Amino acid sequence: MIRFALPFFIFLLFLLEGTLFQIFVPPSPEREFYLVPRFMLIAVVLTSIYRGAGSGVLVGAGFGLLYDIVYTDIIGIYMFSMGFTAYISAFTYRSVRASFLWPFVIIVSAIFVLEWMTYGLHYIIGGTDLLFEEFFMMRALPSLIMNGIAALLLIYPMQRIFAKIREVEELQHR
Amino acid sequence: MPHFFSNKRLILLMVSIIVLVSLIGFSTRNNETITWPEKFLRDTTGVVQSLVSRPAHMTAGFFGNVADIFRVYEENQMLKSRMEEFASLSAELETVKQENATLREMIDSESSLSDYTTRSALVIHRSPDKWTDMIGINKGSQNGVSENMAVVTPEGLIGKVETTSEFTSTVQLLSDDSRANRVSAMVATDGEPVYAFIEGWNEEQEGLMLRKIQSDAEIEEGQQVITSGLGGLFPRGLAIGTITSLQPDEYGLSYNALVEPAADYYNLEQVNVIERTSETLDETIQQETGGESNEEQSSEEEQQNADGGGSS
Repeated sequence: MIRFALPFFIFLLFLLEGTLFQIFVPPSPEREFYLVPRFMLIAVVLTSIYRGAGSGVLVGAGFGLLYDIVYTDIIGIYMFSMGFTAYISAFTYRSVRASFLWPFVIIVSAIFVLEWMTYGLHYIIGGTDLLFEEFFMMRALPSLIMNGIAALLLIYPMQRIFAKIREVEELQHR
Repeated sequence: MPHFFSNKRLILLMVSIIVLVSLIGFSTRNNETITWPEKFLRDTTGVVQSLVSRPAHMTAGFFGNVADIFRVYEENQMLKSRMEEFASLSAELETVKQENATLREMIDSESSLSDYTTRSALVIHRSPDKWTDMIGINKGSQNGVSENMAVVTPEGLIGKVETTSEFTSTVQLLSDDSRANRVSAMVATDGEPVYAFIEGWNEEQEGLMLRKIQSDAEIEEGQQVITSGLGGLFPRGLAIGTITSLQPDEYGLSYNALVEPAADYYNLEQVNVIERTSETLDETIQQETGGESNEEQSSEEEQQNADGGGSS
């Protein structure tokens, strides 16, 4: 059963991004910047760190595909960028896993990589003509701050989930 | 970074880039209908989203109500002054309606472009990355919703149905700035109505762009913009907004206007999907309006073709 805990948790974050966040923090014409929640990515990066690159890419690409189909109309953008981000953030070292700061640093850089990649892909296919400076001020920076705070809240509970999964797996091995 | 770009990984990266390009190509090519796996995924997540969004809307609404309590007095004063206006307006509306009915009887025309039926739907998601501006609603093709139908709130038009699956559909808001996002609109003037197109959102000036207004048209700031009903499935007379500024376009051949939207695109909870009941224009009306400009006709044909493709 514990096997399904992780996908279920990420699916909850998926709903949080598209439905709950949009209801409680509706976009407003007065705001100069966009608040884009990337809670799912936080979980995907942590999966990558604690479960290895393989699981990270699988979860990232899978939920990226779901994101593409349900929330956007162009399939492939999030599937590719989330998979790629999960892959490059797979720092599976013991010292990284044990600390709180390292996962946080990796998550923040992963968020920036994802924002940049989605911006680049939309720019290539003609979905936007935003300049890089505008993109950085309007999207990347607010997203980094907001999702950084979300990451601070999420890292500890997720570390507990991974520890629990590991415990159960070790029990099954015996 | 653990053995980062070794040969095998490089090949894998190449393959995934090829897959990415082909997927993007595939999904931008046929954007009118969606395939069954997509429909299935949207429907299943749609069920969960409906379950989650209903109580969430209620909670958000409750906090909104608490904030409203502090403004009740001012609002009450304003509404009282509006009431008198409303009474005279509704009397006028009643007489105009009767007159319209008798006139229609005289020319034996049963249906008009402004007749429609509505279906109410709950907003279940909104695209969280703001690259596109779309919302999801919990009514799909099983409920009779189909592509390109108009979607409104009580204040006015907000967008059109982009894709449908069995139990959910996505709505492209007017504020979405994709090139295909265009609505045939008209400006209600004292004389002849002026036809033009709403083409997307102006990011800098925060308003909808009304383009291709004929240069001899008599248009002022503050006039109402409504749907014309000439293109596609939209009925006539849905409010879009009011004109706030007017300038000649880059070639000086026509005017562009900035329209302040009547509806609020930001706090959406319950929306109505509108189906026009009259299938086509009356012959006589078509002749009158069709000759006005070639552009209008061609885009109308385009729209109708798209509709035909969607429903077949």
